[in-house]
Amino acid sequence: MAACTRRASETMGLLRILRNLTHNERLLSTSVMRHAAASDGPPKFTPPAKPVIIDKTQKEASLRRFLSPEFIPPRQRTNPVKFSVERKDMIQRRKVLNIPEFYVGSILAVSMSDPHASGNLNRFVGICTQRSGKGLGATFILRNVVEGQGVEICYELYSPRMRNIEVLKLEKRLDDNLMYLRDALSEYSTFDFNMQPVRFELTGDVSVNQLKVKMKPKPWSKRWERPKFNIQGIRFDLCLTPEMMEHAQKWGEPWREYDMLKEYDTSSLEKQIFQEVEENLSK
Amino acid sequence: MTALTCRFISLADGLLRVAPVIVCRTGAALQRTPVIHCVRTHRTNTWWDEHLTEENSSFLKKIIADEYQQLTADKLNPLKDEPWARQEWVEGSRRVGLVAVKLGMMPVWTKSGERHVVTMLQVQDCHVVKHLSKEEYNGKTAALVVGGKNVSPFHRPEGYLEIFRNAGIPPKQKLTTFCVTDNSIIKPGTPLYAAHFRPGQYVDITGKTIGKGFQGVMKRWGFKGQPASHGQTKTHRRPGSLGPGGDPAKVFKGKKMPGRMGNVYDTVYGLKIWRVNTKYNVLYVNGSVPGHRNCIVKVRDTVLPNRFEKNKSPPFPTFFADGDEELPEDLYDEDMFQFGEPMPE
Amino acid sequence: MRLTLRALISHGRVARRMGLGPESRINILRNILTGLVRHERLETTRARADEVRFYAEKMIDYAKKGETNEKSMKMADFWLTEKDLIPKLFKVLAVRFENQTGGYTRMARIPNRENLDRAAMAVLEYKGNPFPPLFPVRRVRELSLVNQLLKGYREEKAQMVAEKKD
Repeated sequence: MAACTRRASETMGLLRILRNLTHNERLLSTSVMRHAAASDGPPKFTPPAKPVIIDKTQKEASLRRFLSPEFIPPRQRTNPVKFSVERKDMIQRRKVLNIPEFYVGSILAVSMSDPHASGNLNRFVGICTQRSGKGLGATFILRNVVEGQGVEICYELYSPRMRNIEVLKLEKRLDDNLMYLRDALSEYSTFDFNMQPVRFELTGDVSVNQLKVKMKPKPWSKRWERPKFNIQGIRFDLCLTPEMMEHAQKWGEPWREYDMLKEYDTSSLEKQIFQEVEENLSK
Repeated sequence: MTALTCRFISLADGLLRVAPVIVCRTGAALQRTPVIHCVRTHRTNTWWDEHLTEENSSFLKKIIADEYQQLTADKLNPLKDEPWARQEWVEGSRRVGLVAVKLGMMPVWTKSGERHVVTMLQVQDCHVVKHLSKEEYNGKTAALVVGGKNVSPFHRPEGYLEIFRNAGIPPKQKLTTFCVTDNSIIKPGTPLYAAHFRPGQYVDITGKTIGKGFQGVMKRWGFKGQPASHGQTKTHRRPGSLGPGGDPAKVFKGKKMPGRMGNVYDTVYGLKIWRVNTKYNVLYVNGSVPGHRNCIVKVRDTVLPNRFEKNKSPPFPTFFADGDEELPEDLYDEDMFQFGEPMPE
Repeated sequence: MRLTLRALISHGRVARRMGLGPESRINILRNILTGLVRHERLETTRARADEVRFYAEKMIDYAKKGETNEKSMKMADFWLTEKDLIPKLFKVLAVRFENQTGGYTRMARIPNRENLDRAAMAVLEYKGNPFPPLFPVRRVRELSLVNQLLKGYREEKAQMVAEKKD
């Protein structure tokens, strides 16, 4: 019964979908919002070009389960009460502002409110180079090259000045930390400000971009060839000789992956937190 | 395992916790020369669990937990014991403080978008333990002894447990005294909650700082040290000169030198309270607080005169959870941005 | 002068420093762990026994996951230097501790070593080993006064609760 009414409401138009959006689960990003933003919410009714039926028809089990990394508590001797109280705040914030699912390597467009900017909104497009921080102070860094100058801006996910976070292209890269883009050729960090959002699916795994980046000549800001950074996404064969690669392996610590003391198993924690967050978001 | 130790006591030593069983005595008592006696103390080192069967020990643990719950529940009920009269707040009266546990820190934003950091302090099982009148406390004001976190009664000395038994509360980990004016005394046994403080008030927090061990003069006192290069021979972090030269010809007492740093009680003054969570009894206090995570701190109203205006008409003498006023789960300061709200600007 | 100073305060560090460095520490612990798996009871210094305890228990957790698990096999291959002990780990020790969740080892302290260094020694063993017990198991006397009084109290309480329910 409910499914029939839902399907009927979907076929009605984009405006209805807009209204439904406020009650959808925030954790799972939908492409619906982007499509809604792309069209102007016009008085004249225009039917959607592509069918927008995503959540309702497909089964819940096939949707991608993503838990934002700032929900996972760090490995400390803190009282779990602190984390649960903080999580409640984060969920409350997520109910108001949609924080979509994104990874390091995806291209985002962020609008912040700024009293000194024209129109009060400050929009920036860039590739996410790293996500750090846990809890409410979680941040992410967006990098872009504007008029030949590389710019990196660190945004706080839960800041009240954050107006809108849009994922223009959702993808993963070979590494978790793309700081080496500072020493790579600038073509790898330039993204058009008026880039159109690229469609992505909500099921299955996120595509991993196998791009290997060409670097500027050494010296770099950090010695990226050393095994401690464990970087897969640089074309070392173009910039380093095999002797240099072997020399870098001297700093490799092969025992580290077998050291059980350094492991932090978060799988059971993640499941528990994911359930809790999902429950509270749908309330 | 009983350990039989031999203690050498001089004649003037009178403080022995365990009564010494004098088994062997030298014949030196007959002579008049002062001789050190060798006294064999029979100290038993059993732990409470050692000679009990498993069922008995688990039964005892369960009983203690139940008793604690019952005690705290009893205290909530005002009809059982007559509470002392509650008086109104007057200018210049001092009320009790709380004992809290430091949970951690998190960011907080104001409505204008500024970011501040707050420390979260949780008030766990705070009870008033004893009332000391002006004469007893040996000062000009009366005092109230407040206890903090609940703790197990095993592994504690009897004298310590007796204090709590008289007040009818479970034993606490920390006891602190608060100087209090006569109009704000509270009956021993009343529980204290985080709602005792309201957002917008200012507090002073005392806690034991993190121990840093033996530290040099740059870290401990903030000396500038010497430059790293330009010819410095083996002198980069040293204190340099110790004082004026030949005239005093000495080093003054209290000269700042390397030594043990930290693990002492320190107070921070004038911290604003941004938010109070009544459900979990958590106080959100501006800035940082001395101590590590999960350490016990003492919270009381500010002593700073410039903040007295903000501390007017607090819940006096404390916030009673009898059900008179229903507080919402979270109390926020006016300036603070609450997360459920729509965007401010 | 060293550009990066070794932090003098070690709050929250769980790994002790042993031997010549991190690699040396892991090698030492590996040898002790191999010996423990082979002989099931070892005598070492207290610090080493304490460190190996953690790794020994984690090793058993990995072994419980099964032989076919790739990660378990890699771990066993790395940590056990004598490769004939790998089947013993999976087939004997993992089976022995099937029904327990933790606490597979026992550490008992021993008087200091006789050498010049007077090192604090300890004996580390896997529970359920075939040797005689390290220290005699204290059997608690049921018929002692304290136990009987508590038993009486317990039964009285149970009676009162049962009466209240009725």
